[in-house]
Formats: sequence, structure tokens, C-alpha cells
Amino acid sequence: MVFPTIEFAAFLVVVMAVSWLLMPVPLLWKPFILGASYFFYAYADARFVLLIVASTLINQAAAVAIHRFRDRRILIAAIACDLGLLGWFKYYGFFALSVDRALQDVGLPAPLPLLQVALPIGISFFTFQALSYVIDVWRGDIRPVSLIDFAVYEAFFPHLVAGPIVRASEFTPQLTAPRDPRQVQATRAVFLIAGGLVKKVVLADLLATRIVDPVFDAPGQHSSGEIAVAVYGYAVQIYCDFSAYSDIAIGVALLLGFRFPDNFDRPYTATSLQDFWRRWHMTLSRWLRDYVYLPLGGNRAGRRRTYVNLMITMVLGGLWHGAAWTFVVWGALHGGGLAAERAWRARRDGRPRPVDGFGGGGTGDVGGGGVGGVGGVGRPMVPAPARSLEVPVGALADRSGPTGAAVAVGGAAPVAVTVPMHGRRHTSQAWLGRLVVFHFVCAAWVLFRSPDLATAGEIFHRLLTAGGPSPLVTNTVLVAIAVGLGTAAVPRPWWIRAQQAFAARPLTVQIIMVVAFLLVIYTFVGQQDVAPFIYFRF
Amino acid sequence: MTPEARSPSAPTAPAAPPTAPPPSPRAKPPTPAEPAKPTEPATPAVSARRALLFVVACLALLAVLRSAAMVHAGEGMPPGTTRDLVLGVARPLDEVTSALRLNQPDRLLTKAFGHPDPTVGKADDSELAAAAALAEPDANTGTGTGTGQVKDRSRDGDAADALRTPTPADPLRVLVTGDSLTESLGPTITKTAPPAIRAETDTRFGTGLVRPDFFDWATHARHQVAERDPEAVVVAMGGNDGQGITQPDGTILPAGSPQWEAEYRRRAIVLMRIWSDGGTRRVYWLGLPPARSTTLNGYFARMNEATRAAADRVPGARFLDLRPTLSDGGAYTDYLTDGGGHSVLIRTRDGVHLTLDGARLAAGPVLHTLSGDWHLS
Repeated sequence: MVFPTIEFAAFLVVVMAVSWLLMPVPLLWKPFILGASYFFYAYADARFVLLIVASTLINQAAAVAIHRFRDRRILIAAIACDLGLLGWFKYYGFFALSVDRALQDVGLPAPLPLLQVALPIGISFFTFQALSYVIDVWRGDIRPVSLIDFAVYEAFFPHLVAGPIVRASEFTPQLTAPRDPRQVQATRAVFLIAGGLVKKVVLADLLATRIVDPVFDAPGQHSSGEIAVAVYGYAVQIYCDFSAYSDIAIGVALLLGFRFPDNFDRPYTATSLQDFWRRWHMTLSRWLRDYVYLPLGGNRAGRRRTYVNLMITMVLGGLWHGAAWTFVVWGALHGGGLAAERAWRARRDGRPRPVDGFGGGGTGDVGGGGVGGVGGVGRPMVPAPARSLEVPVGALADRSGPTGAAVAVGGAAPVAVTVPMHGRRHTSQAWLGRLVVFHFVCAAWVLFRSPDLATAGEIFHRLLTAGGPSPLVTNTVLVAIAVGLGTAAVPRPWWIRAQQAFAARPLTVQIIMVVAFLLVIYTFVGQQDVAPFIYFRF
Repeated sequence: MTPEARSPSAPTAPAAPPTAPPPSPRAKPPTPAEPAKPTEPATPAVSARRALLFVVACLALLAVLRSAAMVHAGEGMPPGTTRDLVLGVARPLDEVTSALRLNQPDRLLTKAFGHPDPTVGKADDSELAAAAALAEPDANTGTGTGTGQVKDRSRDGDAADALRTPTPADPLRVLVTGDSLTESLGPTITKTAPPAIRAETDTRFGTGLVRPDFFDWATHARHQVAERDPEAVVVAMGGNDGQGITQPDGTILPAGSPQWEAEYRRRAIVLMRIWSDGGTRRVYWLGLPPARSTTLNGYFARMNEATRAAADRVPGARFLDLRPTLSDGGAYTDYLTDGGGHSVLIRTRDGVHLTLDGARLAAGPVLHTLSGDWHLS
């Protein structure tokens, strides 16, 4: 089921009503929400419900066993199981074909059968959540929860198919007591959902059809001007598309009384690449940081090893998006970029900086702003001091009260203690950083979007060499790009004030406002089918 | 000015203890509420009852004001309970709201934004389904002979000789169009075409010949001809057509039945004629490659017979069978060996669409045919 459809609207109304009805009785509510989530998942392909059930049972059994026996082998078996599942469904075909090709080139027979395996939707997301649960139990950060709680956590439909990747420690505490039916963050939910619809239906789909798809499909037929605008256009499209899904997911969860972490924090305002990864797909970045980068040793094993770790982490991050060389190169570019940034910084400062991760921290201190940033509104801004790895912080789960009001939404609590920049020189430096980072990210997106490496090469080549007119560069396209980038510049207090003003209106006025707004955006785009969300593929 | 001037930029990065490694997840437990309270902006919470009322009211009002869009969405759904339910609600609702003129805001806004009125030229007006077009078009106008005859060769005759020889300066205008099958094929043809061929793609997702109520190809083909004036039209569609045809009089022709096939052929003829315009344009209708699902594959075989026969009856139209290129001896296959002797994945995971490598294979015979007909080889 896809969010902006009639089916989902009907589903949401029924689930929301029954959910609040059953909420006071967890014994009924949990099976209900689990059943509803499985129904949501089965709507696309019923077979794969068995897969998610199997994943749930295996990981729960592993978590309980790990907690009881503290045996590393159980952890390894569970991780192998999860990665095996992901590997089989997502990467087998790519792997077999690559091996086949490599061997064919040297004249050897193919050892692996070439098979096309169906891809269960959302498998990357729920597998990562299950992994984080099992590993957190191993680390002693959390205790295993009950089977039904874990099942609800893994399958909860708002985040099931395209994230955000919610931590068990953020979600399961919210299951310990019924959500408070007097405390529904409806205004924030409405802003997130309506804003998400604008980003998806108006901006992302418009840019895709008007410029991005035509240019990336046939770069040979387009001029430098069109290609440049298409590259910027794709940067805006993928941000609007993906953050829209996250926003709608967070909004839907809020309507049911649950809080998710934020996933985006105006990523294109990042002043460094590291900063970018604190703002882009924050829940994936922190996952990679905590379960790949840090276990590899992070930055504790010398400068060279740090660069290698960054590279490994980002290439894996690239591969997570899909089995293709374009994603590998995309990840490698970001890994190399992060390493280069570190090296440059170390050289400038005359010493290696011991502090920085590769991002993924989430800079909660800058909060909301921008449509995507609406999610940040209402979040506490508490800088938490960075702690050393050795400090066992087991207080994750138990410190969040049953009301769950304190889940670290905002991607993660801020890890960076803000050091204000002084003077004009710093401001211009920040802007220079922003420009450089934005263009690096845009260039890397070319790899991400291109169907193969040859097309990406052609895009870069023609970007510099192809003259001629640019009929696809219309005012509408330019305005859409400007709006997509410009939302980040809207000061955060404006959003808060808008929400407060909206919340102060009577219910009927609120309804009229929202309906009028949706009517305008849907008539603006006209009769067209909503393209699938980009991140559904991952 | 943006508020992120405070953001931790590279130069002034986190002032954490010098020995601290990168922030651990465990360094940020769910923030306890107490220290945050004072800074938490007040966006007041409401009761679940009020939130539900709000959601229901918004959606209901939207359904009333945009009932036509709801009907359209229902028409676009695959046959089944959901579609029946949506249309069961949407159609009567649409009748009532139209009578009460509640759809005015939607229509006015649609017009204001420069979109055509979706309520005009719908369903029963479609040339494809119209009762007036029910009779099989006159076979004599075509250059083909006989219905059952398999014709998959270069169409000889006067028309072919009259074709110009395109040049890179004045390339052949090709339009690749159809359903999602053209999504990978169109751009691939564009990219691999010789300089004297310039191809554009017009993909209409989820459409076909079976459901003119959802998307009317006859109308759209006329727009295409008027706006793009192609010299050759390459058509690939049918992926969504493995379902029964509802006739304007309400009778349903079950998918795969002989009557269904005959109606499919008739609709294909109507459409090919619009594009071909008496032979002034060439129409290349691509046969569907086998589908992984055996049921669907059965329908595809029927459709291919229907469109092959249709092409025989329309001057300038030609059926191009892709099965030899995209199958393993006629059977479905995910992998094939390409020209370089490498195994390539040719079908996407759904077992219907073509991957980029599959599209490359398919583009070969299409371009070969185009080049042959226009004296480019």
C-alpha cells in the first residue's frame, strides 16, 4: 500500500479509529496493530508476510538467547541469518551475474545459477531494524522485549516499507503503556503529511517528469544547460521524494500516538560532508555509524585506518541502496569525500582531529525549518555531551517514560556542542562550504540516478561539452527547484508560529483550510498517477 | 537569513573531549523530558477523538469535492474487490455531487491551472469503445490480406518506396509510445539510434486498450499526432490488458476469450489507424515478450495474435515480433546472452518489464527495421 492513495486513506481511517478504541487494552491493541501492519504489507504481496514473520521469530529467539547465555555465536548466527536473507533477496542476482561475467571474461564456466529473485518490499528497512535490536541486546543496551512487542516494532506499518529506521530503544518503550488519547499531536501530523504531499506530488513528481527523467534517459539528446538543471533538479527531487515519505510516515505514526525519529534536517544546508550525513537519511547514517563504522574501529586506530573505515562504511551504505555498481561508486565517492575532508581538516589544524564521526549524529540543535524540517518542530534541543565509546550507556530504554514523550526525535540527540561562528569571515566560509558540499553531493547523485556507469559518464561529459538550446529548462522547473531548496531557508520559528496559528483555529476552520490546500495542490498537478516513491526500491 | 548559521561547520566542529571517539548511539539516550520542557514549542496536543474526527472530515470532504478523481482512480485499479468497492462508492457519489454542482471548485481550479476538464471525453465517448466503432473496420483499406495470416516481414509496396532518406541534419522523427513497457525501451532506442533517427518517448503508465474509461488512447493518439507529428510510431503496450473488457453496453468479455481477442483486435485497428492516418505514418507494433506468469503469458499470446492481425489490416502498420529476441526458444527467460557473449539480465523482478540490458536487446530489431525501411543501412 502506498501512502497517497485511496486505499491507504481508507485503511488509515479504520486503523486509527480501531486503534484508539482498543488502545486502553494492550492485550487487544497489540494483536490488532500487528494484524493491520501485516495486512498493509500483504496488500502488495501476501507471500512476503511469511518472510517478515520468520525474520521476527528468528531475531526474537536470538535476542532472548543472547540475553540469557551471552554467547557470541548466537549473535553471529543471527547476524548471518539477517544478512543472508538480505543477501539472497537483494544481492544474489547481482552477485551471480558479476561472478558469471568475470569468469566468462577469463574463459571459465559459470559456477552460480543465474536466478532472478523477487524483492520483498522494505526488506532493507526491517532487516536493519532487527539487526539493531539483536546487537543492542548483545551490547547490553537494551533487554529483550516480549515477542509481540518486537513483532509490532518490526512491522509497525508507518515505517515498514521505507523507514525511518527506528531503534527498538526508541519504539518499544512506547509500547509499555497505552498511548495517551488526550495527547495526539494532530497539528504537527497534519503539517508533516500535507507538507509531504506537496513535496512528493507537486515538487518531486513535477521535476521527475519535466526534466530529470527525460535528461537521464537520453543525455545524448540534451544540452549542457538542460543537463545542469536536471542534476540540480534530481538533487531536489530525491530530497523531496524521500523526505516526503519520511514526513508522512512520522505524521501517520503521530496520529496513532507514536513518535519516530526525524530523518532529514535540511541536508542541503550542510557546511561539510560530515554535516551532510548528519542531516541526510539520519536514521540510516546513525545505523551505519553505530553498527558498521564504530565496530570497525571508527577513528581510534590511526588516520589511515579511519579513512579505510569511512570508505568501507560508505560503500556498504551505497550497496544498501541497491545491487548495482552505480551505488557502489556513489558510496565510494562519499567515503572518499569524507576521508578527504578529514585529511584536509587535519592538515589545516596541524593535527588529526579525534572527535568527528563520519556524520550520522544528527544535529538536533538546528531543529526544524523547511517543509522537511517541520518534523523538528516541537523537539527538545538538548545537547548531549559526546561520550566515549567505553562508557556503557545502558539507560537507553528505561529512561524513556511510558508516555514516550521523550523519544529522541530529531534523528538523534545532538552530539555536537555548537560552537557559534564569529564574524563575516566565518559566515562566508560557511557559505563556501555549503556551495562546495552541495555541488559534490549533486555530482554524486548523478551516479545514484544513472542506470549505469556509462550513462553517468556521458552526463558529466555532456555537462561540459554540449551546447545548444535548452527547451526543457522552463520557468516551472526553475521555480520548483528554487522552492525545493528554498524551504530550507524558512526560519524555524515561522513553522512553529504557523502550527500554533493553525492549532488555535476551530476544528471546522482547520478542516476547511486543509481541504482547500489539498484541493489546490491536486488540481495544480492535474490528473496524473503518482509515481512510486524512490526509496521503495531500497 | 537561515537559522542554521549555528550549525556545526567543519572548521568549528564539535568541541567534545579530545579523547572521545565519534559519538556513540549510547551517548544519546532518549532525551528525558524534563530539561527540554522549557524550550519545547507549544503545539498543543488534541484528543484522539478530535484528531480522528478531523481526519475523517477532511477525507470525506475531499471525496465529495473530488469525486471525479476518485472515480478515475478506481477505474485505474486492477479488477478486484478494491476496485469494485471504490467504484461502488465513487460512482454514485460522483453522480450526486455533480447534480449538486459540488464538483465546481475542483473543475474551476483544474481549469484555472490549465488542465483539460477530465469529465469531458470520458468512457463511453471513447472512440476505442464507442458503439459506433463496434463494427470491425473495413479490411479493404489495409494492405494486409486475411485475418489469420502471419505477416512479420517488411511491408512491400508503393508506400515503402515513397519513404524519404533521413539525414542527421533532418533526422527521422520516431515516437516510442505505449505503457510502462516503453519506459526502458524508449530511451534505449533513443540512445542507440543512429544519428539520422531521433526518437522521443511518451510513456503512459498503467494504461492499455482494455480500459479507455481510465485512459483513452484514441484521444491521446490524436494529440500525439497533432503535437509531435512523428513519421514513425513504435508502440509497446498490453502489459496491463490481461483483464476482461467491459463493453459500453455493460457486457463483459472475459480475458482470453475469442470475443475478447476479436474486440482487442478491433481496438488495436482503431488506434493504429489514428497513428497511421491512411499510411502517411509508419506504425510498428511490438509484440509482447513472454511473461513469467503463465496466466499472463497466455493473455499476451492472445494479444499478440490480435495485434498481429490488426497490423495486417492497417496501411502503414506492421507487427514486430520480439519473441525471437527476448525469449529462450519462445519460453520466458530472465537471462540471455548478449551480442558480446555475456550473460545479461533482461527482465525485471516482476517478470513483465525489460531491464536496460533487455531493452538494449529489444532495440536492435526495432532500429534494424527502421533503418531498413528508411534506407539507412
